[in-house]
Amino acid sequence: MPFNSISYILFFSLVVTIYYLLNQNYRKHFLLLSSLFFVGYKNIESIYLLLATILFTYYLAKKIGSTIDIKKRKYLLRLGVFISISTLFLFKYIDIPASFGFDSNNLIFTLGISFYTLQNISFLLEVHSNRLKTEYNLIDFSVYSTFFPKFIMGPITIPQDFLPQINSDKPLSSNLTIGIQRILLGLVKKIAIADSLAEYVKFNFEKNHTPVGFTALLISYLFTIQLYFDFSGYSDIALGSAKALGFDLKENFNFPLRSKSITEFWRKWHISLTSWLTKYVFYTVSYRFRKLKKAAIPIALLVTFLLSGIWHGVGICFFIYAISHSLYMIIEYFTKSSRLEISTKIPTKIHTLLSIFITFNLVSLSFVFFRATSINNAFHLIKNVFSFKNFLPTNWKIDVFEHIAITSDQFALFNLFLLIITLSLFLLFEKKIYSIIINPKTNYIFIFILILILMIMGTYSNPEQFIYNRF
Amino acid sequence: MRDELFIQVQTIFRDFFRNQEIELTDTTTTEDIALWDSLTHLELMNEIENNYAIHFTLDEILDFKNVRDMVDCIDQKLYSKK
Repeated sequence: MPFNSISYILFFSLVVTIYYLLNQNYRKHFLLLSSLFFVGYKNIESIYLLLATILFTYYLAKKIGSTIDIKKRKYLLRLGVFISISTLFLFKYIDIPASFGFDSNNLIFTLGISFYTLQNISFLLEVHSNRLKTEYNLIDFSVYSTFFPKFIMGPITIPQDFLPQINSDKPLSSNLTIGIQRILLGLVKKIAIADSLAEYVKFNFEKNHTPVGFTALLISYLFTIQLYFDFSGYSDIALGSAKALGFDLKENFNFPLRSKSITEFWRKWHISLTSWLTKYVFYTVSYRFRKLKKAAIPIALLVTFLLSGIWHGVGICFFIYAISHSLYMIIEYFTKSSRLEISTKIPTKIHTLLSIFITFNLVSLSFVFFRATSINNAFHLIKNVFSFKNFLPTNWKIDVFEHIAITSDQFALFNLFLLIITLSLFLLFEKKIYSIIINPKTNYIFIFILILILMIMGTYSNPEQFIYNRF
Repeated sequence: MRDELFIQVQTIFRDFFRNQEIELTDTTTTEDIALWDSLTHLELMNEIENNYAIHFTLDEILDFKNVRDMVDCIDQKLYSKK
């Protein structure tokens, strides 16, 4: 049940209506049933798999919590982490469902397993380190584990942030307004902007149509923007759905395309994954190697990004993507003081604009590996970006717009122009847009504009999957 | 005693980040100091450990939410050493 489908809208409306009519005492049970339906509506096998992992993680966490012997606690934790990671490998990388005749793309459990596994590991780690103080029972844990707005693509939530919200009684009407406004914003970002960009990006990434010079650079920018609108649009729908049900999930994006460094970018992009990796991988590795002083950080960065790369998928493209970001961060780490010194000698506005421009370019180049269908495809596009001889187009209309739009048809060119204007306005005023969205007072003019954009620019004939669905 | 410790920790921060203008408060977090982030955090913890001949566990480091938590932990460790 993708978030950008009519079936989700119907399912969500029904869940919200019943949820509001129910007594607070029964709400969490209803949420659990709704989430199980969300996971298993297409195939009941997903529910069996889900229940098995829930019971295993819950009872193991209880066992860790009640064990006093430190060695035994550690042994139980390692067992839990090992089983969770093995399940991830079996379902994601080895594709066990396929050997039993199941289509993994239809098994919702498999779709959500990357996020679901990290969350369960986080639960075990928090119990092991005694950081989780909230009391919980099997129902509470199951709601935390399966909560449908975050099941397929996050945000990855730590138990301390979620469990206390399950049993708290809160006013819901303002949450409902904010939630629905946020879902609408997410749909506009996904259906009107990301999906419209997807077609241009897809065609221009194909080998026999790879653009040259400035146009190639522009395509790498457009993919970065597509990915941002796609994933942040998804997160808006997830956070909006949760908010309407009275839950606050962690923000997953904080205007990352305005970052002034790669380090800042990773604090603002896919925040829930970065926080997970920083807490459980980066700190663990750098703590273990801390006797090496400054050398501990590059080692920890490399390990963290390589794990992040593997989590996204196995392949040379993800490997290069991971290596490039660890290198960016290592360079930034060793030049931090000098960069700070330089920043005091340049006018703030110029320094900010330059920093954003450089960061955006570095990110866009690395995302070419994220998007490309093969390593040759990625290098071909990057080589074309750096063809300085032909960098600037001789004919802007033909070499840039018609190339990207795939046609010389005036109507198609106008559509592309309209799309670029809309996404630029969104990026320029996104802080303002966000402040309107989280305001419980409905701004009807704004809602009308969003619906209008959705109707005029929405791509409905061939809806695209969310990009992060494949992770 | 705690006030004195607070000033000492502030001096360590100032020397470590080479910034004599840093003013710590109980609620200071990584958001408030330009160079203090996850990359420099463990190095800073090392510096504090060496200064007081104490040892932080990884869980303690992960639990610090602000300067207050950090100073309280140092205070506790120095007290138990006595």
